[in-house]
Amino acid sequence: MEITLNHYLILSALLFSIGIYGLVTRNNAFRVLMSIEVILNAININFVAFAHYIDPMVIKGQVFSLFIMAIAAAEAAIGLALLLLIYRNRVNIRMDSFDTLRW
Amino acid sequence: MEILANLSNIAFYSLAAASVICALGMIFNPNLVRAGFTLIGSFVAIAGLYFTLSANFVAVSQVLIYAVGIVLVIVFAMMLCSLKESPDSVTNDDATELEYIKRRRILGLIVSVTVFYLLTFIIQSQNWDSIMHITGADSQKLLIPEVSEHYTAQIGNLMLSKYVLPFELISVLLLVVLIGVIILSKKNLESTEENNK
Repeated sequence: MEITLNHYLILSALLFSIGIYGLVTRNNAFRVLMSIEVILNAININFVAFAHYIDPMVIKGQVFSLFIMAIAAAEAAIGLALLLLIYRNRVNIRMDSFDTLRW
Repeated sequence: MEILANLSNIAFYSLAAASVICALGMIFNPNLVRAGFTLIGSFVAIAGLYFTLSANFVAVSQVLIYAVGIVLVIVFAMMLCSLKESPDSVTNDDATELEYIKRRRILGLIVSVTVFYLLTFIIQSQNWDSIMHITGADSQKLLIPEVSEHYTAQIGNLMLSKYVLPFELISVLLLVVLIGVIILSKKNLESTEENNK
């Protein structure tokens, strides 16, 4: 059986839902950040697979995936700086302890 | 030709299994630093998938940016927050908190399974072949071995011609992030110095 576009799309859907599960259930802020990276990777797989199967002459999908990688790096840097700031003030990084603005 | 097709099948399935297992390991491994390192395995497997999609440049930048850059930064930040108590475990053994965590896990399972089911349903119900006919990808696919050799050069040309505006915006964004991260950490340093005085 030949590997088609559907295989890659379903793999990326699987990784996406694993990332959603980690994002919703985990209480550790680092694990939540890593789940976000997994979600971004799932989206990148989609872009590259579409570029390979549907648009092989002008590979726009690969260019977009590179942009997403740069944005993911920016997001990780800002997120970790915020986490370290919160850790210095609160000495823990449990997600349910960040409730100052919750009503 | 058939051996070649079999090889690409094996490559796809093993890399896909590795990436999924490592992503699950990232979520379920109780040790936080080990979870970070299993995430590297997942990213490297995804880089291998990009090679099977003949996206060489994207694969190499995946290894450089994700597997080395982002994960190492996350692991170092973890080590800066000396986490003596495991944050995933329950600190006070309240039955209500245990109940709360259990309920949240069940809810998360329902949400993620629903998302997966919906996505696979939509993917299966699409007729991707018709889209390929519109863009004429079927006839172009025969050219792929010759075309994919020049993908890296093509990405460079696209980034500096058609996508030059997003490219420049990304560099501005990275500069803003650089300054923002420095300010976020420097402000705190000043306040601690004042406290020490």
